[in-house]
Amino acid sequence: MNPFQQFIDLHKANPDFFEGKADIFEDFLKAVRNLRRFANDLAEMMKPDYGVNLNGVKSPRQPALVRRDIPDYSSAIITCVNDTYYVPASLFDGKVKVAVYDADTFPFGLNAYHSLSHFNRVFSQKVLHISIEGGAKLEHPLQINNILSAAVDLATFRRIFIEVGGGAEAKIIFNDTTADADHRYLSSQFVDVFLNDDAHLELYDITDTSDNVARLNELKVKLKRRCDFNLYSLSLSAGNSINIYDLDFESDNSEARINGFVIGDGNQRIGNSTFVNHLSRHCRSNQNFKYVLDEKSHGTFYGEIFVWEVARFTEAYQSNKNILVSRDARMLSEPQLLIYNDDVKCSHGASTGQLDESALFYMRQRGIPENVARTMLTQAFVGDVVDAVKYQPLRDRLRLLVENRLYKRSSRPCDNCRMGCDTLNRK
Amino acid sequence: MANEKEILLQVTGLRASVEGKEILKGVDLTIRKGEVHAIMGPNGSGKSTLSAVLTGNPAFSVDAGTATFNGKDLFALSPENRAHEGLFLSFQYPVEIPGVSMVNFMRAALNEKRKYLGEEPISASDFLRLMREKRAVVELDNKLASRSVNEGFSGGEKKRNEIFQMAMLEPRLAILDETDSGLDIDALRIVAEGVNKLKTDDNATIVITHYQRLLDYIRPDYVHILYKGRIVESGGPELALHLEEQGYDEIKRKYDNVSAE
Repeated sequence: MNPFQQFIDLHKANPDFFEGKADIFEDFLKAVRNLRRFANDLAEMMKPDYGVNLNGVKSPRQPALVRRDIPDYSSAIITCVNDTYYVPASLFDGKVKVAVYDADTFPFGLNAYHSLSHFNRVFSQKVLHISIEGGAKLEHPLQINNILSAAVDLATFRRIFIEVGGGAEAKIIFNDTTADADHRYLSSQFVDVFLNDDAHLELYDITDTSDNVARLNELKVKLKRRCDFNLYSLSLSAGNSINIYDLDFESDNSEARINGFVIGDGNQRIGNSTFVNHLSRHCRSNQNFKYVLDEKSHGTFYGEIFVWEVARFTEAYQSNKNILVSRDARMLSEPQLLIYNDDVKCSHGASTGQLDESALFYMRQRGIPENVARTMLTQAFVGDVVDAVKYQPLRDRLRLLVENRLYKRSSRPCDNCRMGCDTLNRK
Repeated sequence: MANEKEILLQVTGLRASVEGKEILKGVDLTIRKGEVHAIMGPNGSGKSTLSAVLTGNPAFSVDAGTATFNGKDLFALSPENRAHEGLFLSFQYPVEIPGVSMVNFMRAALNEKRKYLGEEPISASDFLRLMREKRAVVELDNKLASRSVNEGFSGGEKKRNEIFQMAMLEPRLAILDETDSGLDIDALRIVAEGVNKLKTDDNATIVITHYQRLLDYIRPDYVHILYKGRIVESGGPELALHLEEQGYDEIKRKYDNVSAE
């Protein structure tokens, strides 16, 4: 028997674990209906006999020096191997406080919103609490590297609570990767973000995992007055994943932009869902999601803008554009706009099509081979999402990663690898 | 004298169709190095189809006939390899490609050609120098060269950009498909002068046009009249002048019965 399995057996089942959680589980089952709109097969996602770390024991794996394509942009790195956090002693000279709480004793109310957060709450053991001091201006990003690494099929549950103090400016990069791609993972994450007055936050949610990862991710953001929030949902490669992004404009004069791309191939199933709730006046939101789907991949976009009666002078926009590169690729797009007052500027739109054949021929006539021309066109298609990335080192990196991904280069850049071997065998 | 020159393109009995409709009904054409051929004809006669078929546009299908270009079976080559062999089409409607910069586009095109010819990729500094040099041929603004391909270009700028690309790629045979359409007199002169500057004894040009006007600037050695999918008359530059005076009615009267067979 493999040692990891023995390790799991040693810490097996805590009989008290589900005590008092019956209603949460009930919530989950009720809410799970909402997931039916996704192309993802939830039953398929749950099928493997995942190990679950019920006792919250530390992973026997080191915070592996695994190969990642997103380099470290700062010394402020929180590594999470499966569901075990490795937190540095001090971050940004104490301007950022990080603590890991037991989920049961976490001092803040656990607000669950959608199905995925209910699911997460059933199993999550720890809460990573990040608090950014009011007025702090952080030049470099705080990076949270989620690494999946196990020698058995494993389900992991991460719960994260981020508070950005008044007037603070920060960047947070979530970077999900797989280190041991031979096994299947269920990767559940639930993130709560609170932005106090005048806070500025850029949040990057980058997924570059192996195909056998099922990812259930929910991000809930609450914005107070005059906040500026940029969310980037960047699915370079995301096996079977559902992301729910839920924003509440709780006070006036805030602005949020959500930019996302999805690059799918093989049998990948990638769904994004946004809920932008305009609950206050003079707020602006703008969403732009682009999907490039090749081979037999399926994509889902479900976007909802809700403008409440009180939310006068709202500006809310949403755009979802998709390209199906192959005949077998599928896209489900459901843009929704619900407006309950008259003083608004809103628009939404969705389009799904193929690459422009006339552009393709134009490029070929100039001598650019068809496959290169196709890749240049798809790269250009997601280009505006990459260009919207504000943090320049990451923007430059993403250009390269997108290019590599679209050219399906088998050997990806190794310059961040400190292991000297190919641990990230994607297919 | 001209007949001793090497044949660049030889088309025989070309029949082609689009969406099942036959457009070209047996075209023969011989083009030698150093020659300029004008192809004229009324709307719908098959002029643009001819350029599309020769360059390999997948929307058109070749039903019969052969084409030898530069000693190779043209129809056996992919569009990109036809380009590498030196076939260039100045599009009647140049395509806008948002998000692909002119610089990346041209560098990819040039380097693919060099790869095909077994040459090393061009260095960044040489490339930029070449861009600068060739831009001057058609007085193309530097700002346009740094934008996305044809995006937001005016009609005249698009046509200039076509000739700029021609200058960059130095084709053996350039087909100018209604390059004069949508140009004002000044732009027409600049474009035509650009084409003339690129002319050598080793390359050739096919000028597809409705009007004699362009041929005042780009002087053809031969003029062909394409009507209902066939070249019905060929001659020297005087044929274009004659056509300008008479219009296409004479041609139509003369050949309508023939093609109705």
